[in-house]
Amino acid sequence: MSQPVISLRHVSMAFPQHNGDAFLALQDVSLDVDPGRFVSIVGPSGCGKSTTLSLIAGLLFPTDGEVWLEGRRVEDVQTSVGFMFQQDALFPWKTVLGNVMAGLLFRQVPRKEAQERALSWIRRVGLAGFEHHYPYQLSGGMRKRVSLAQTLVYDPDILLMDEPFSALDVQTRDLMENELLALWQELRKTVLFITHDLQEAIALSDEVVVMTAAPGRIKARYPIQLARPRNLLDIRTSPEFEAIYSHIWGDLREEVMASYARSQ
Amino acid sequence: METRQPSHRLIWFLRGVLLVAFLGGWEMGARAGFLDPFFYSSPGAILARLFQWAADGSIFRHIGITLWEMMLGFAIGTVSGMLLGYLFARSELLGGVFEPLMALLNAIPRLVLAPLFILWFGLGITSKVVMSLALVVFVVFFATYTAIKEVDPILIANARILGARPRDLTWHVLVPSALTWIFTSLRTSVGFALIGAVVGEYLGATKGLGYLVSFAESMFDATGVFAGLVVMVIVAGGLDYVIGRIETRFSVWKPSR
Ligand SMILES: Nc1ncnc2c1ncn2[C@@H]1O[C@H](COP(=O)(O)OP(=O)(O)O)[C@@H](O)[C@H]1O
Ligand SMILES: [Mg+2]
Repeated sequence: MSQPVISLRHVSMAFPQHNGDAFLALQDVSLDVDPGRFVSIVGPSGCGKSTTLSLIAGLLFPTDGEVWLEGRRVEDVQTSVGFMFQQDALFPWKTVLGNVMAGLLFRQVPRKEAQERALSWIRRVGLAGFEHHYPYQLSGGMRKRVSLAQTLVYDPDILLMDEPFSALDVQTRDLMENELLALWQELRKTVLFITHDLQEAIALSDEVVVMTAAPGRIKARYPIQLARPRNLLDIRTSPEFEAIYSHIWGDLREEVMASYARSQ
Repeated sequence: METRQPSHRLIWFLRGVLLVAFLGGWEMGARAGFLDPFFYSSPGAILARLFQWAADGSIFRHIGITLWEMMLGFAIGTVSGMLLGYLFARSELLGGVFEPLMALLNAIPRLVLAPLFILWFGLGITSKVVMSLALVVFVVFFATYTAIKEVDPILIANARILGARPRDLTWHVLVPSALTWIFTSLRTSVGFALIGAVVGEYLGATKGLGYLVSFAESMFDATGVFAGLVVMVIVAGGLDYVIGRIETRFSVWKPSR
C-alpha cells in the first residue's frame, strides 16, 4: 500500500468573528488521498470545502490537527501543488502567455524555456492564437483554460481544484470536464476536486466524499467503481450511474436541506 | 427610452458656433463701447499680445519654467507618494501610526500654505516645486496605499502557490495593481502639479505663468491677465492630451471605456 499524498488528521478550523466568538468551519476532518487518485468533495455551500483546500495548500493553518502533504507536515505555502481557485485568479495585467509563464518564472526557469513550455500548454488547452490577449478579452471558459494551463505548466503532482467549472455554461463545462479527464488519464496526477454538483463528482472521480453542513465534517465516502476510461456524455444515463447517484444523493440531500434551513 | 446619438460633426459644429459667437460678441461689445476694454480687454487685443509674447520669445521662457517646476514637483511627489504608500500599506506598524496623520495633513487646504512655502524656500523655483509636490504626494500616496491594501487576496494566494517570492509579489502583483490606481489618478495629480506651480508663482516669483498673470494684474493690464490665462489653458490642454496618450499606452489590460 502506498502512502497517501494528502493526509488530513483530525483537522479543525475556527475563524475569529467580529463579535469575538470563533466560527467553527471544519470539525475533526480526517481524510487520506492516495497517489494518482481522483477524489471529489461535495457538500452544501459554506460547509468548508474551500477552507479544506486552503489548508492543504498551506494558505491557511488549522486551529487543531495536522495537514500532511507528500509525507511532510504543511507549515508553509505549498508550491508543489497546482491550485485552481473558485474565483478568477488570473493576473489582469498579464497576457495569456504572461499568466501561463508566471509560475515558471517564479521558479527561476530561464525565460526562453518558460516561454516554450507556456506556449505548448496554451496550444494544449486550445488557446493557440490568444497568447497575447488579456484576460478581460476572453470568455469565462477561455479564462478557465488559461487557469488550467497556468496550473499544469509547472507539472505539479497534486491538483487542488475548487469548483473550477461551476461558473461555466453547461456546454462549456461538459467540454472542460472531458478535457480534464483526458489529461488526468494521461498525466496520472492526484486530483482533489471540489464541486457542489454531485453528477460532476461521480462522473469524474474514483471516490466521492460528502461533507456535512457547517461545521464541516466528513459524512461519508463513496468509492465510484465505474469503468475507465469514461465517456462523460454517455455515463450519466447509465443505470449504474443512476444507482450511485440516488444512493449518495440521499446523504447529501440531508445536508443541503440542513444548510438551507439554517440560512432561512 | 430611445435617444438618438447626436453626430460627432454636429457636436463639433455647435462648439465652433458657440466659440465664435462668444468671441465675436466680446470683440464687438468692446468695439462698440459696451465693454470697457480697460476692464474686459478684447479678443483682438489678447491675440495681439500673444503674438507679441511669441515673437519676443518671452512666453516660452515662462512656460518652460512653469513646466519644469511642475515636472519636478510631480516626479518627486509621485515617487515619494508611491514609496510612502507602499511602506505604510506593507507595514502594519508604520501604517497604523502614520495613515491617520496622512489623512489629517490631506485635509489641510495646502494652497493656504503657499505663502509659508515662499517664506521658507524663497522666491526661486524651490518653493514652487514644494507647493506642487505637496499637492501631488497625497493623491499618489492614497492611490498606492488603497491599491496595495485592496489588492485581491486571491491573486496573492495564486502568486504564492505559483512560487512567487516576496520580491515577485511586489513586482508582479502589488506594483501593477498600484499602477492601475495611480494611472487612474494621473490626471488629477498632473493637474494638481500644475496648480501648485502656478499658485506658487502667482504669490511670489520672478518667472513663470503665475508670475505673468500676477504681474499683469499689478499693472491693471487686463489684456495681459487674459493672455496669461489663455496660455495656461493651452498648457493644461496639451498636458491632458499627453496624459491621455500615456494612459492608452499603459493600461492595455483595461477594457476600453
Ligand atoms: N477567512 C475567513 N474568515 C472568516 N470566516 C471564513 C473565512 N473563510 C471562510 N469562512 C467561513 O467558513 C465557512 C466555510 O467557508 P468555505 O470553505 O468557503 O465554504 P465552501 O467552499 O464549502 O462554500 C463559511 O461559513 C465562511 O463564511
Ligand atoms: Mg468554496
